[in-house]
Amino acid sequence: MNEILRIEEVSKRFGGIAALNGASFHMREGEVLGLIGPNGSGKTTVFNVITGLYRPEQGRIVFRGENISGQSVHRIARKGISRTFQATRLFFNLSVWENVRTVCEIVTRKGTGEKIEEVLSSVGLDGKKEKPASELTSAEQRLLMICMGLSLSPCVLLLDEPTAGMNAEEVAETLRVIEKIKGQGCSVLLIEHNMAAISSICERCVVLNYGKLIAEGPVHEIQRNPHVIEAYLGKD
Amino acid sequence: MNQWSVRSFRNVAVLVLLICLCFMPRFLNEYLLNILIMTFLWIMLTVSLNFVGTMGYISICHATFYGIGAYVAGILTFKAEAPFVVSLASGALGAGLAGVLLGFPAFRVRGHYFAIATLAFSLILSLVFSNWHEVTGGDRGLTGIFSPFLTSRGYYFLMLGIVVLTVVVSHLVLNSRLGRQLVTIREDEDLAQQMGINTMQVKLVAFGLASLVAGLAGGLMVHYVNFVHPDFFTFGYSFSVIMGMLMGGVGTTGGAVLGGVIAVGLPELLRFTVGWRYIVMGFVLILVMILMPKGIYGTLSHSLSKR
Repeated sequence: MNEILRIEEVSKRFGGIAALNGASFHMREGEVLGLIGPNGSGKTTVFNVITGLYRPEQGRIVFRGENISGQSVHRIARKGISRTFQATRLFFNLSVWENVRTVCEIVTRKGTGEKIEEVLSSVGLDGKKEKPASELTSAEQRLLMICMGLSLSPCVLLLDEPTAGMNAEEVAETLRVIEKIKGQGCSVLLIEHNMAAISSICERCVVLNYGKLIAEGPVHEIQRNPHVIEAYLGKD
Repeated sequence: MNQWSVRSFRNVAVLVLLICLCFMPRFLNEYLLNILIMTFLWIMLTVSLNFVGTMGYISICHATFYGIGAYVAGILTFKAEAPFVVSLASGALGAGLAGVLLGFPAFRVRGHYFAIATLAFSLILSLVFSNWHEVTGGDRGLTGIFSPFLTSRGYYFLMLGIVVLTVVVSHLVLNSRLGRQLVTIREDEDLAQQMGINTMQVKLVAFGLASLVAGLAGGLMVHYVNFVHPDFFTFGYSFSVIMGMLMGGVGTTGGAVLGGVIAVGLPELLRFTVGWRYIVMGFVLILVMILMPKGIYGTLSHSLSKR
């Protein structure tokens, strides 16, 4: 598989705190890559740096061979990198259909209706398109966030804890959606605390701690990695 | 009432209103005709400010763009004897350009900070209008600016045509891709950016369009009253436009049109209260904000569509 996204020696500080400290890893086309680490390890900062919300102080982000670090947020999104958020963020006063339409219109000038139907049915929200986003259940809102991300027809989708607060059934449904996205050839970078979800869907995993990469490899190896165990559980 | 009936009812009401407005000058005296012309001007102001309001921003310098349009049109006519259409177009373009130039730095901040930036611009321009004697005539203003029509009736029909055009453009803009992007900026600007919307560009287009229409209204005003004075464009007038927009309802063209009618009509209706007029208006505004937070038009159309 070809490399699609590379994070090279990226550092980002907030005052005296190094949220990212020379972190490096890469993603391949069409893979689901897990991004894990204890709270405060810099996972969401990686998303914010990739999507242009934060400008890295050192290092660069290379997407399909192009250095995109420092580019504006909307430009990076239009290049094909979209994301969801840890806390649910939607246009809450708009309907499900309107939420998706505003995003679809960015990439599709004609045939927007068909595109909206397609992405809504891909996450199973086609029956709720008239409902205001604020009236959806928490799990449906998270699916709608994914749906909006998909509306940009991305090559890379960054999912920030998509199963947070979901019951087992909803987690299974969300994982099915992610599998489907992967099947369409889209690469997914997945932040997740649910290790069962990670091991069921990711081929590889990268682990951050204090803004540094401490492990990278297949999930079953990561679970036995002493550095990872120490990061999560501490030393004896 | 379902969505279709509400729409049909609204279309019929607009048609009847337009027919009435066409025949109105036959039955109205000069004073009432003047009030209607001023109402048309204020509708242009509230409808244009609504582009900014739809994206959740408050601009306190709308009367300043009105003033830029008035001064550019007035000066071109007074000093260069420019034709009516040229002076109008120049006033509108001058105000539109000023809006874009102000927007570049001002849109780097949001919310109250943006409002304060526009207030500062309004105060600076007020001083320029009052003190640049060689160009603006200073506190004496400019007088003797010609009107292309000899009667108020002629100007009334010109204004009616331009207001209808403004309202149609506003309706098309708010229901276009741009209009929907304005709403997403109001809802969550950061999310809109993450979803690929160039929010700075959208805000500049909306602000530029709003100031252009305000400038056009200024040019029309100066050719109507044949006079331009800095007191017409103080930030107090900007607050009146905001008040009208809020009372009518932000985010819809209907609300903005109603806002323009209220901004002129309410003070006229309250003339009998003499010195208490602005106090009563303040109370009315507070009441509307409490009882109808979506504005009069927003609340009425919402309750109609619910039936």
